[in-house]
Amino acid sequence: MNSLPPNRHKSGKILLLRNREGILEAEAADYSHGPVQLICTFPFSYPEQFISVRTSDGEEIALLPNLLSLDSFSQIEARLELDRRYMIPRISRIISIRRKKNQWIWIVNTTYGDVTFWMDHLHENVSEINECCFIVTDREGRRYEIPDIGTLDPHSRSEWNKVK
Amino acid sequence: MGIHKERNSNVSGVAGSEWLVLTADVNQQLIFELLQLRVCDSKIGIYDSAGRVQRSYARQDIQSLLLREAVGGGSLHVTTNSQTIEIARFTTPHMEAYRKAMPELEHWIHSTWLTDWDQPSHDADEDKCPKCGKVARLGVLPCTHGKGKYTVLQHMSRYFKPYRHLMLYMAGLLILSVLFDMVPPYMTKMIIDDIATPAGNHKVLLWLISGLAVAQIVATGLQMSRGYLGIRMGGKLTGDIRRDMFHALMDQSIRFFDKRQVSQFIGRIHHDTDEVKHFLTDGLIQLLTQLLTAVFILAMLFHLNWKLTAIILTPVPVLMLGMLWLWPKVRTLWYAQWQSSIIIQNVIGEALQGIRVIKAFAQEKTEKTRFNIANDKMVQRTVSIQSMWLAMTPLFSLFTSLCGILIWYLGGRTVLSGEMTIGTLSAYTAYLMMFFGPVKWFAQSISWVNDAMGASERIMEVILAPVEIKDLPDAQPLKMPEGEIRFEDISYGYEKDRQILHDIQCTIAPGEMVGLVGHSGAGKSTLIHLLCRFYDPDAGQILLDGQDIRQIRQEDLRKHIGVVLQETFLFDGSIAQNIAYGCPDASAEQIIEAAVIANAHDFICRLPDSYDTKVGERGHRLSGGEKQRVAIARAVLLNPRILILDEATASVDTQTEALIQEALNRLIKGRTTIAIAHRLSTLRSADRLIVMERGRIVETGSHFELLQRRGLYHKLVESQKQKQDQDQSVEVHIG
Repeated sequence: MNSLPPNRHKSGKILLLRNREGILEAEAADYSHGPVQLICTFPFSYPEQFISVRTSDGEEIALLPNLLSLDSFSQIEARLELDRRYMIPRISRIISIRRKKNQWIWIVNTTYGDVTFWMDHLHENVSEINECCFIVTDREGRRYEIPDIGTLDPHSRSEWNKVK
Repeated sequence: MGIHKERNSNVSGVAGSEWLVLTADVNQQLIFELLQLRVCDSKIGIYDSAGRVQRSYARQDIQSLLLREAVGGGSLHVTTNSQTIEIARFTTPHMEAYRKAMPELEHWIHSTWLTDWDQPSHDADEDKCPKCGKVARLGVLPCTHGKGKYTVLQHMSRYFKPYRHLMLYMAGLLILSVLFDMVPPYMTKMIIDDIATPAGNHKVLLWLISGLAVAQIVATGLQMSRGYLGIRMGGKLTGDIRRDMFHALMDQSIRFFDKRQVSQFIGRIHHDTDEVKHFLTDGLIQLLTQLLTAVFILAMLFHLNWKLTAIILTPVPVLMLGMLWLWPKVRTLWYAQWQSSIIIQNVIGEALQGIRVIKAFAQEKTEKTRFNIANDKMVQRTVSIQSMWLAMTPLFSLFTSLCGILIWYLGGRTVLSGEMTIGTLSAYTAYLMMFFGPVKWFAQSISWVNDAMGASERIMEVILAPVEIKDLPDAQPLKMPEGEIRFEDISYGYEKDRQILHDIQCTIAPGEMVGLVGHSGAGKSTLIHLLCRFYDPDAGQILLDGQDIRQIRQEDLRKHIGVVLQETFLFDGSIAQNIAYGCPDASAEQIIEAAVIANAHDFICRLPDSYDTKVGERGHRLSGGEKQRVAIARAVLLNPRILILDEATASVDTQTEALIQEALNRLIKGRTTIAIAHRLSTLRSADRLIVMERGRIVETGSHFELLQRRGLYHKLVESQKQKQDQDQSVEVHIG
């Protein structure tokens, strides 16, 4: 491989692969950038779009408009990396939101499995990203994403509408 | 949960003695699972909740351990001869424990035996509520576990204590008042049964009628006195609550406000205390009155005819159950309604604060739409709540009418059979109708009480919120410090999963002027925030003259630190009041002297009202440079030993900058000064420059030393030179 100075590349020219140590690396044309990190520039609004590929020094070498612009192998590696970089479970179903004493107890299904968590105040722990997307923070600071409240099942929406 | 270190009594390196246990709550498939990372002298392994080992690595096989911080958590990786493997994954709450464990783990890998095991480590359990064991997030939320409605009531009841004598008077008046309310129906009964007969006595009739009139007058008088006392007490009480809320907000640390939209508190202090006030002045009196009335009337009803009363009371348990079922639903509805009102307040607050930007970008329509959405939601909530009570009044009237008809029928039969007199029946129906008053009130008060309860909880949420940065019980006063500042291994992040400062080490000598240099986001302002104790570092300590600043009373510490920021906040008062903000006792001479030093005196004298000029909200009647010089005068008057200049000349023109720079040069003499400036030329006179990058100190030295070193500072200077050259060439072209 040549040691060309790192330039910004078009997404179609970028290959993402893992090295022997399991660290994600990027290659473009005949130049290897070494270990890279992927940054979602819109982790909630566009989780698979506008992905910034950066070297370990933080220098951006590409801004992928969409993961689909990568080859299929790189896409798999990119998703794997993003799943591990953004540890924010997505809520797929709200079983119940109820209040016990001064605690709000949430029982939900998430991409990380079924979970029950609690919080003190709804008004301080549910924040709006946009009209449909919300971030719920539990008492210990874990965040959960509701990507689109409108696409949840009627029971989940009814539980949500009771309190918000 | 968290990090637990146990020092084994046999620390000579016996294989199998675990010295570190950390929680890993996410498995490799990214599913929540409670696992434990256990480290003993010979190996590291991950274990499931049943204690079965999932993976483990011998110490001699491990080349390095790597902590990868992610968004919402992190992971620990082991590198062996052949590969790097993720050994543990965890969510945000456990991040700090891993960070703290890393140096010890590094030490463990590279040491032969673990013999230097003396440092006590942080235990995540320290932050847990001692009662419930749940984690209390300091500065973010109060641990209200076990603080149910009764605890809220308990806290609220503290406010009654100063008025207990007044309350006793009120209770006496209340009992008398209710007793006098009982009199008229009974006297009516006597008039019907004893006087309205052929043998009736005119003189007795006159006495009874007079008694009836007196009873009515006394009852009204008592009611008025009670009402007056109630209003007086309620007013004072809400004043106390409002005061405590504001004081609690003032005592809160900056982080509390970082997390919240502050405009909500204006409404909350008003609205929530108002809700409580209504309840305390009207509601509480009503509640007690209705309760006493119901008890007395019930006694009268039983006295007049216990059989009929027993029949009437049959549906009461059903009503009670209905109320219990309705209670939580109403509570949630009120809470949702309140949230909608807070959103409206925030929208209004933000729009008004940013009105200049809205106008400049012609975004009035967008803001109107935003408001309309919030408003529609509020309307929807209001309709939901009111609809719930829509049918209540007519249904209750129907119920009371049916009861009345039933009583006339059953009572009529008893009168016909001679078991009861007409007067008794008449008094009975009158009492029954009076009895329905409290019953109806109780049903309707579910909504009222819930609203007031919610408001009380929210008041207590503010008053009881733990203060993250508070003085230690043994905090020392600070007399005139020398001004030596030492940062020792400082690490800090505003969020648990994002560290801003890493292992900052530096000492600033008394009277030294130090310039902090670096790109935006390098952590310069964060370092200053830590010095002012707006936040406490996650690790390490800051020493002022060798004393940890956490051991110094905050008020004293800040009295000795003068701050001049890029954005100066002026209060809506006169220029003199703003200059004297840190020293309210300053004389006019001192204020003028400070203004002269700050190069502000001349422009102030040009204003029509000079030092008495009102600066307007946020000082909008003054220019940026003028506000800046008022801020410098403020710092001069404070006469601090330590001075912080955070981009103090960034937003002014060259001529004004020269004036400000001149003022600053006078100000910094003899004080330990830390200055942040992007315009590096302003820091040339600094004794030393500290160059920061990504939360670390990368270079220190004088301007010339750093230039010679040709490192980051050299790059920054060169890039600024290039920019200046470009700007000049553009000016020449335009010229």
